[in-house]
Amino acid sequence: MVQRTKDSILKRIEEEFVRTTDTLWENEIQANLFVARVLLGTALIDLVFIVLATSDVLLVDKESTMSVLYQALVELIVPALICLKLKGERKWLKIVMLIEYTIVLARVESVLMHNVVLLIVFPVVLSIRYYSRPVTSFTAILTILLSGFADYAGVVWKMGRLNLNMVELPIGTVLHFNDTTSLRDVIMSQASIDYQQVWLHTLQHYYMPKLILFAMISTICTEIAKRGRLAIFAQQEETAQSERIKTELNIASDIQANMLPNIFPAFPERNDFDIYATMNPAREVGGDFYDFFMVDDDHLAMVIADVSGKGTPAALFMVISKTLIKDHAQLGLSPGDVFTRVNRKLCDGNESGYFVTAWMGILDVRNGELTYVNAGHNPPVMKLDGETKFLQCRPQFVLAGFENFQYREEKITLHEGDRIFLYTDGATEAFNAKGELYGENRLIECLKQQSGKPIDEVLNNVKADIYDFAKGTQQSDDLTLLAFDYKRGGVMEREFEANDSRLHEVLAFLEEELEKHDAGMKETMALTLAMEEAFVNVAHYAYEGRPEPGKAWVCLSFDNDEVTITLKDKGMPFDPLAMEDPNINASAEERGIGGLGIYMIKKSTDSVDYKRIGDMNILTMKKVIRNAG
Amino acid sequence: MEINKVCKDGTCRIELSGRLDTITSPQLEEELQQIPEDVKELVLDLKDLEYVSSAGLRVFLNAQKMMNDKGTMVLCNVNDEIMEVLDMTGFTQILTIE
Repeated sequence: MVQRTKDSILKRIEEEFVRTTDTLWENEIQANLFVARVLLGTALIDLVFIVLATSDVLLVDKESTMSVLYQALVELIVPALICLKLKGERKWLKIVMLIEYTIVLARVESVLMHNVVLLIVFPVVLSIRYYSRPVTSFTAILTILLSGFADYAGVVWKMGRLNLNMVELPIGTVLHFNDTTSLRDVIMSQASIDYQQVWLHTLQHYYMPKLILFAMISTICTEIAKRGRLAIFAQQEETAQSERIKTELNIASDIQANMLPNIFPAFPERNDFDIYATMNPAREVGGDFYDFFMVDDDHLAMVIADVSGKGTPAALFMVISKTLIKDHAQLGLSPGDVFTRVNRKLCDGNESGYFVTAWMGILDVRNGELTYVNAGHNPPVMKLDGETKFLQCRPQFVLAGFENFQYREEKITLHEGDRIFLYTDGATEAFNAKGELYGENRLIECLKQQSGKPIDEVLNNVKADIYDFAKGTQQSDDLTLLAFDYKRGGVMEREFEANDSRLHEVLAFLEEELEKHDAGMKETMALTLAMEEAFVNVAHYAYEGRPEPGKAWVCLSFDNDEVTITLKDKGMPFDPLAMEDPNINASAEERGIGGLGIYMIKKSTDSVDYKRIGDMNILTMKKVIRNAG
Repeated sequence: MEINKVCKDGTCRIELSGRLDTITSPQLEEELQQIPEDVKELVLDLKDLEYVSSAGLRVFLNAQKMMNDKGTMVLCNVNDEIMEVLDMTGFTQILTIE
């Protein structure tokens, strides 16, 4: 454990190092490319100067200046092109380019007029881009050395860039020039002027202050480069942190999604109802939730709720609320009592002022009696006897509001084909780009159009309709939907002794129901065949070797044009679908008789599914029983 | 399920009506076992047969195997529904159907 922690810390440090190094390297490449571009820019300016100088627009000492300008052109372009060619991906590029730039500018300075002395700052300022104190310091020192040397050379040697303002000349001194004589030659030929004093003073009073100023600028540049590097580190840290938070949120999002029942069909062994739900948080985690569960064999609880606020705080409150509601409901309390007690617990220690709107219903699936309670939540939409409308709910205070609120429940009876549709305000309060609300009317209308479809399809279509409406806007609130379809009346279940002698009763039951639902001749025949094969299979094998006769349950449910036949038994586990299909091309002599019945089941239905749930074998066969149209 | 059997001159004609399923097929099986040894041709007339399940097919298969040794077996007047079952199970390939 300790070793693992250590390893993981080491690994993190290493990753951090690699990441930091990566970022710095990335920056250096960018800086190289930038410097290369500046070098090319300078070369362009250099070219302009050459043109201006040759066309006599600019007055320069052609002999010394032109050669310097031409040299500079080459020395700027070559390293810049090399750098671009290598895509800036070499460590030495920065040194080469900065040295080259400094040399070029120092040389230009040695020949140009004094008013361009600003030139020497360029390399240092440029070097800041590397965010590296050593690089900037190096460039500064190099500049001082080269530029000092250039100044000295310019003054002392032939160019004679002397400044006569820096020496006292005897009054009445007259200096004679022509184009070919340099200032240096003129002064040296003048006996009244101390040549040595002139160049010494020029250096001392004119060039030295410039270098001192430059040194000060360089210090500032070095500091800025250092700060730049620190900023990169800070940004790095921030990115890593936000990534960490993102990862954690994603995990939290998964945890939250998995807290809600999310495997559908949720109750494959039940044919008397169907339930389906979805939750789409606006952010990674949300404050909405739905829940449904069997309180006992005959009671189904359904919950939908919305915690005030969004994001992580709401999600935490959601977890508490969901857990409390389920725990209390499973004690067998009525919905009103559940909310009264849960409310009390939620109020206890709720300093943050969060609250929950919630609706819960508990349905007795045997007789359709629905007991429900509403704590400030949007009223459910019900499809009752074919009519789609809002369910009248006694408006009561939200959960986690008043500690001693007594929630009261109401009752309604559901019939075959009735549906419940639960939603949160993420549905009705979705905005479109024009700022309009989706609203309750649109919701009802959408549901009315969908009333004949299976509920999973209904939910997906409603969701699509809402998203379509809100297209072009950011989802502002969590969207949670739950639909429940009560099929009690549409479901027939009969118990039979699992014995061949009961076959005709089983088939009569099936054929009678199929006739009631206008099944076609061909379909009835096919289903009868499938039923016989499946039932006989159970009668022969499921309870083999047991002293007392076993039972089989035949359950029929009709959903629009489709019938679902479920055959259950409590015999030994047996998956008929695992059997190999018989070879139907074999000759009479070769043909066995095994597997034929199961093959016929598969052939005469649209789908067959086998499940073993608890001690039960459950074979589900589906078929559309009417021709389309 | 009604079975009407007429045997003469080495030919047996069995008319079936109703449903040939798990419960009724043993009756047919028994009838088939009782046909005389010298029968060379067996005709199963399914004109009024409404339904056949795998148990019935099994009887057909056994009858076919039995007749393979000594003569021919023919199914006649097969209606569409029964034909579909025979087709589905590949029995049309091993039985002779008129």
